[in-house]
Amino acid sequence: MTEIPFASVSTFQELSARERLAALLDGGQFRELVGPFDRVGSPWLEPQGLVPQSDDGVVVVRGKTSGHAIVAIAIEAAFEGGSVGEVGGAKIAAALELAAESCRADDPIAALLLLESGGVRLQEANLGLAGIARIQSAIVGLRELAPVVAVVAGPTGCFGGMSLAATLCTWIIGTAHGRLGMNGPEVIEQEAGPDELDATDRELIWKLIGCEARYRQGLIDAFVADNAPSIAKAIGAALAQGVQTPVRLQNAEARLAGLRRDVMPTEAAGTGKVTTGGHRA
Amino acid sequence: MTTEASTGRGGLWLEALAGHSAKTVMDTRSILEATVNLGDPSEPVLALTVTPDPASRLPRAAHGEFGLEQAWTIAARIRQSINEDAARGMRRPILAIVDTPGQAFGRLEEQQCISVACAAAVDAYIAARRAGHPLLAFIVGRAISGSFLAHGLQAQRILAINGDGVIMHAMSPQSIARITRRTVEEVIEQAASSMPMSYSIENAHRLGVVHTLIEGISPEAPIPASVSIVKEALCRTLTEIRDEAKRGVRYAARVKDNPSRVGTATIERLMREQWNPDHLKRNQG
Repeated sequence: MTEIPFASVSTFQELSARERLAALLDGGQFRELVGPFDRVGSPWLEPQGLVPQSDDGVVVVRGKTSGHAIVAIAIEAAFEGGSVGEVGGAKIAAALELAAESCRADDPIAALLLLESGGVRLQEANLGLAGIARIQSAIVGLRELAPVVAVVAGPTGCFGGMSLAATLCTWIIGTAHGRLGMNGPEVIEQEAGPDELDATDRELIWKLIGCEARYRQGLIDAFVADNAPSIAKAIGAALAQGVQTPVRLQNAEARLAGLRRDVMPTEAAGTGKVTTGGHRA
Repeated sequence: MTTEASTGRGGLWLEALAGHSAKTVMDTRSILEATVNLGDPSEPVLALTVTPDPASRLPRAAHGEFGLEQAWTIAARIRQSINEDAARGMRRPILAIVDTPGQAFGRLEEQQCISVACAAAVDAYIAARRAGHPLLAFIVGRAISGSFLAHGLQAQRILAINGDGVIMHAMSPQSIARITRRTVEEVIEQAASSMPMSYSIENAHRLGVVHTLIEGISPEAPIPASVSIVKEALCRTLTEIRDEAKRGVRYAARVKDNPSRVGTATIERLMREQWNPDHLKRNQG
């Protein structure tokens, strides 16, 4: 059997979650925590006629990257669209909280999040939401002690509550195949109608939420080529910068003023009537 | 007092709990605040809510959604209150009163990075909690998805009225009905068969996501008797939050005895056991 070294794989976006971690960690070496052999899958999928996976689509490992001790977490896009449910959410949150404990005990450890996620897993809606809220809190807690680096490399992209989680990280790295947005184009079209956004208009979508556009807007911090060495190098550079507060989240009052000055029409756009896709219960 | 048509449930409860009119925050008509006094001797609590603004300059956020303006306003107000209180050497509790149909869905919203605006609100709530402001959330209507993440879900304790129209979910039943081409009734009925998928606030309570259910009052009409019941519950919860903060209770402790949270409890235990490398040696004997 021939083994293909991961670094020679030209495109990162085709790699599975475990392959991504092997490609980014020093020497391809890591130790997986609560892996598939621990057999903790989602208890909620089978009753809804879906097949659970014994790692719930979240891979948590410890290893090193660019010489820095790291807990690295990858969401497997191939399982339920990278959606976050009870078990996967608890894995991410618990790992980040343990990393913070470790930092407080003078054993510094940074975090790497490979985020390919549609957001909350609809079949576990409320537990997914609660899980993401806890992940967000854990990111902010760790961010004050060690860098938390997010990578959005595609092909799924990072949406919903997980786009908020990415945004809370110290540093975000994207590639040309990554997309980062709160609401996916299909959801916007469904909610607001095709006049608001045509989800089939690929060029428009990439200009709107593609990582290249996000880099130009200053939402993400690095835009790199879609291969493991480029991404690993960017991660190393981010870790070398150490603890920082992400600028994108600061100066809320000034951002509000900017929004009013530069973006919002001076008059109410409609007559106040609900035209399409009203949500009133 | 403003009328129900313009304030929605959030505004009604805010003014009823405060006993006076609410004011708009930073000229954002859809964000209201008031001071709610809890306990005896009474303690001031900063209460905030999102409310419909039919004349919103951003049309996708006219019905009480959490949009760009709402998210940045909440973030700015929470940051301001952290700074004000730090200067006065106090840490006022913050109460998020929740009834929103979700985040604003729109092209402009994505272009202007609504994820950053909502994350800034999340970040501000977390900063307040970490600075020592007790955070409470009180659901009086719809607690949906990104809007609930940005306004409510960072609270140490979530209370809800067990009554008509009080629901929690990742997507409104109307949206799922549109996407799956079913009626709203069908969506709600089918979701009820799975506890986390259910819209029922009772199920959210069983899962431990909602901590306290307030029974026997109407969420639509905050009459004085209901207001005192809610204020008592909020007051008790405040004491619990402070006790728990003193004891440093871990997340694992909160889920370990809940039969509906075996998945979370198992992960908590295994992740901690396996965190340090020497567990392998131990397991091997």
